[in-house]
Amino acid sequence: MKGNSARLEAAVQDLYDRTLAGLNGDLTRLVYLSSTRDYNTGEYQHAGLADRFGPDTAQHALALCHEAAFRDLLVLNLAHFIGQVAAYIESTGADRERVLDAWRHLQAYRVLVPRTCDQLSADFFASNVRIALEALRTAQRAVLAH
Amino acid sequence: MNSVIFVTIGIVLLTLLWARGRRHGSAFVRSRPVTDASQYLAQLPPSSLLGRCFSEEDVRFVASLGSQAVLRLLLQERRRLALEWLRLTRHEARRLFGLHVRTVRFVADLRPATEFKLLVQAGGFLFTSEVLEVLVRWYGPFRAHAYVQSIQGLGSVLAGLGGGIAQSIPPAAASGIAPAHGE
Repeated sequence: MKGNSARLEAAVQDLYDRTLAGLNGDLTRLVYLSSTRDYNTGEYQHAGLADRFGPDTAQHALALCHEAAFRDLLVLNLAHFIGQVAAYIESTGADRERVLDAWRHLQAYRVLVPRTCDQLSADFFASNVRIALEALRTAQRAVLAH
Repeated sequence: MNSVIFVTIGIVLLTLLWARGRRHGSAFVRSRPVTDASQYLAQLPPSSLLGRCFSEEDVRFVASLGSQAVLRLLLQERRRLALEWLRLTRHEARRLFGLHVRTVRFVADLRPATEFKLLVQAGGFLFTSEVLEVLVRWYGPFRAHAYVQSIQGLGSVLAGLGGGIAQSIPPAAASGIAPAHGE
């Protein structure tokens, strides 16, 4: 039991050191972690981590990091949250207006929620993203108008 | 004089609660013992979310952006989420109270004092949630510091009462069940 827990801890640390530490901001980490999840089965896929620690431990480690990244975002105040959304959009390298538009219409942020999350927290997160998108769009328009 | 009014209000609320409970559950269901242990798992929504819904810091920040549309969106969204929190809390507390009533029918050593305490808690819960709903519905036009503080204070009281109802589940029935999700 203790061995399993130590192994899981090592897998989480490995995931953080090799991948997550290099990503800018919690939202970028959240997008990365949810992208490792198969949309049909809900299972996480990470070949490198599974090779090093076994598929079950890798699965558990990814789920834990996903939940932690989501929790960290949920407790942020709106100013910091909007900063995270702006940093993520910046990191994509795509045109800001286009990303804002796509996120608003496709609501891709809904797939970022971990499986264990309760409905109200998921709703709160989606609501914060909607407000952030509107705030960034307003700021973008003001910049363009000048 | 005051105490007579409070006792009358309490009795009326408890009668309403009892009448509502009767409407919701069929006689068949009420007459059967609860055998599914998972039903005892309390799933109250996180109370910290209600506090986040009325964050004055967020309102101040969005107001500083100078966009009425974004400020309106924030207030609408936070009011909607707070009402949803209330709805879920009320639904869960009602379910737990009903479950408790069904469970104690089959308990041999019924403790009247404990049952009375729970009944008072349920009445208080119902009253607080109705008052809170009215206050939340007016949030937006009214958002002064004292107003928001009252909402947050009542929210804490309600979460506490909901937690009290959740803890009223007989320990024997709830043993071996995961802890409540709500904080």
